[in-house]
Amino acid sequence: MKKLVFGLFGLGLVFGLSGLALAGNTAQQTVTYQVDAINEISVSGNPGDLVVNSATAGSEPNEDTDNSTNWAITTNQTARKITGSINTAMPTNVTLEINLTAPTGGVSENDVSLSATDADLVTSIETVAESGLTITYTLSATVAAGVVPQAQKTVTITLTAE
Amino acid sequence: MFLLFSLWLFLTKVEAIDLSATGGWNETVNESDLISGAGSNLVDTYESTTDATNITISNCIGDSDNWRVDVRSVDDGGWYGDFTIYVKRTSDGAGNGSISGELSYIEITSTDTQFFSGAGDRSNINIQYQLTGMSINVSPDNYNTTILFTVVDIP
Repeated sequence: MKKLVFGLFGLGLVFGLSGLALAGNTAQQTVTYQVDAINEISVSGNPGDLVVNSATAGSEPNEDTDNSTNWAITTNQTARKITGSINTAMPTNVTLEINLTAPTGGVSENDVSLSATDADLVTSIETVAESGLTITYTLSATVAAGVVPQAQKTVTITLTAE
Repeated sequence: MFLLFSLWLFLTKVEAIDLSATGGWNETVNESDLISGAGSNLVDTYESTTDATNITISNCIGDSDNWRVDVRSVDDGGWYGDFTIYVKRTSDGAGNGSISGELSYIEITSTDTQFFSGAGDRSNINIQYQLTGMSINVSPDNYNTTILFTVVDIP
């Protein structure tokens, strides 16, 4: 009798082990995603000609303004800013200003005189994707500038870290 | 005699069905994935190739040895909370047995979900993944999760 009980126990143990072994077999795979830093800006095109050609008697010439273009931004980073510059300096007593509407959360520096050195145009930019943001250019000249021939400037705006 | 019987039983029954998986999925998201360039968001949904993972079921006891494959994910802390990952079977593979189930995406969660089932040895079962939840709010980084496939012998 003692022998039989031992035998049944042994059988149960073997079945138990077999059951564990049959429970399943697992393999694993890894899914990896890499998200790169994305910092994209674009502009809609070139503004119209800016011409200073009138004045109120007794005052400096009237400035000319263009807000026909806009800009767009997508960044998945924080603490970004937009800077701007022109390829060569403006003639003496002639000023070209730019004003970028800030995306949500950003801060516009409003009218900024452009020079060959980068200046902050919009700061405190956080993660954002917005388009249709207005660009306003203003050309002004004092009487001391005299008559200035038509010229072109290349404006470069850059999205960079603060 | 008993020991011999036990040994025979052990050797025959311990031959569990095996599952092997090769492949995986690596995806890089960059500015080319913006919906329409600057000013737009990132595409929300990404798909792997249709054969990102290749699964083989082997060691079955005949063509009528039934099994099922469960799937789940293990987040080791390197996953983004808003991501949802899906999986589907894109081929039947090859073998004398059978296979059925989940030719459409099912969500992979942290608990085992029945993926597909079949009988007998089966090789080259192709698997495709899909991920949703991408946006510019996802910080630049590497994200990964482990997908576990488990074959379960069905008595």
